[in-house]
Amino acid sequence: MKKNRTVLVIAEISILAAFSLALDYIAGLTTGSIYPNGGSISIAMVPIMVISFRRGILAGLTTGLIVGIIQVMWNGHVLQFFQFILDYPVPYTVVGLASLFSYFNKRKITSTTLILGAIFAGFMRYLSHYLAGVIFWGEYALEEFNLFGEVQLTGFNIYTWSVFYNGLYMIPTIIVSVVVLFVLFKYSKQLFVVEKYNQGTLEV
Amino acid sequence: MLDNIKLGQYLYGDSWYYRLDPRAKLVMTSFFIVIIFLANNIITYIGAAVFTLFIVLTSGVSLKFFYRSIRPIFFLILLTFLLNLFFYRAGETFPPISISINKIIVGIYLIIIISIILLRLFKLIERYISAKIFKISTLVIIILNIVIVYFYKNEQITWSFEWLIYKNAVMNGGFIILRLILIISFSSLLTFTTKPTDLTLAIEHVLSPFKLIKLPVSELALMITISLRFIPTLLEETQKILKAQTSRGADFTEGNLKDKVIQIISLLIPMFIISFKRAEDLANAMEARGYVPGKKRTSLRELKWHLRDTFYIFSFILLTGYFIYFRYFWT
Repeated sequence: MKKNRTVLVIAEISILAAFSLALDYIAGLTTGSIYPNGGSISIAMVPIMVISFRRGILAGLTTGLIVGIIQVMWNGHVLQFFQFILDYPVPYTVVGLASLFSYFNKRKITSTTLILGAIFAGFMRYLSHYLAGVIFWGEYALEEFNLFGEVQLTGFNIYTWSVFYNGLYMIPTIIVSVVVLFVLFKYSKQLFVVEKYNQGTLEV
Repeated sequence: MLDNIKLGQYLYGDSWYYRLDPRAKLVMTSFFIVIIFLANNIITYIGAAVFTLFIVLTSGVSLKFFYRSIRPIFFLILLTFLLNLFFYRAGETFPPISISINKIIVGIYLIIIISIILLRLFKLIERYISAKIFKISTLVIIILNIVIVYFYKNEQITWSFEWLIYKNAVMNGGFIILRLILIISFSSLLTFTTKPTDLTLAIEHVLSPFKLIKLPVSELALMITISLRFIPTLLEETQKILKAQTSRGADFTEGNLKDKVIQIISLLIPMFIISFKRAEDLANAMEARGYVPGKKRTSLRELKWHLRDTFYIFSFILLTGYFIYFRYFWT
């Protein structure tokens, strides 16, 4: 009997989103929030990546979106509209792209597709935070100068700054998440694939 | 470790702001973040500040919570202000400030900072001690520099230069700081006074036009609600497994990277299995109660629109009019 259990997928998405947020909360307790803008080194990306491999890209994207929305509700630093979009809903959503490379391999998960996908997803998140930084600094540091004509801006490059500032926490986060995900895959593959009787993807 | 967990920012309380409809609060907070960019001169900024201050003071939320939500990005605010002071060069200036710095003092300061970094790197001192040393030494160095430069000014070991501060730079920097503070106050006020579940309901209502293009908005809202409900449960489970693994000899605080990864895995695998089990139970329960994705669903909590919500929205329309008038038509 092949049956698409959408309700089960919905339940798994919700609970893994909760798990991701719980991991983020614990990471916040232990490392403290060193960085402003809510950046901290945590493995909150791992559950989102797992659900992306387990239930497909759409489920992964949805999980990320939920994590992003709840992050805003808890402790969102809203400074500007596009900065807000690119710092909260988007970066977590794109983590759901982790299983993208396994689609080229007929959805078969191997070490290569797993690592490539996880690194890709991590860097997509980095890119989103980077763009948010550029937009924020562009808005607050550059355009304001241009209001009054003559401007001399030396020694400060918003693009370099944003790469550096976000890399400070994103690079360690990506490395730790990929390592943890890979070890998780080696130890227990059953988390990444679904048993026959429970098969289904997100089709609402 | 996880005792007395406080998730989110909601503060229990009661005031007119608490009783507003979450939809009105959500939409108007986003609206405020957009229209604040209309403000560009001193009158509009004063209007925005008075408006925000009135709402903040009457909302019944203690000011210290606003301070707490601004504090994490204080560094960011300070940096934007300083960037303005340094890089903005146009218009009139204040009288130049002459600054003299003794090179020997700078050398001593650099040595102190490098030694703090080295001590921290080899974990010889705690973080809070190094922070204290840094703060005290910075203060002492500044005072020392002022005193030495005042009494003994040798051309060879003193840097002297004049710093020009432009009037527009100070004004611009002040406006930026004010705008950031206003935006943060408003967005924090929303999360301070609205429960996440109410906020989710509001999001569902606000996004409901997207149902027309077949976006599963109510399913998304349902998932957010379930997620919010299960976070404390999962934290509790995490704590249990942490204790169980500790009793088996796992040490979550010590060890090198390889040990740490294995400890994290020993926590993650049971947590994933518990999560999937819970998800299956939940799905069975939902199916047993007749939940079908995509079908219309009734909600336990219904939002009610009151006259005060209309007044609240109206006040924002007035504020927008005020901004537009003093930005474009007032000279």
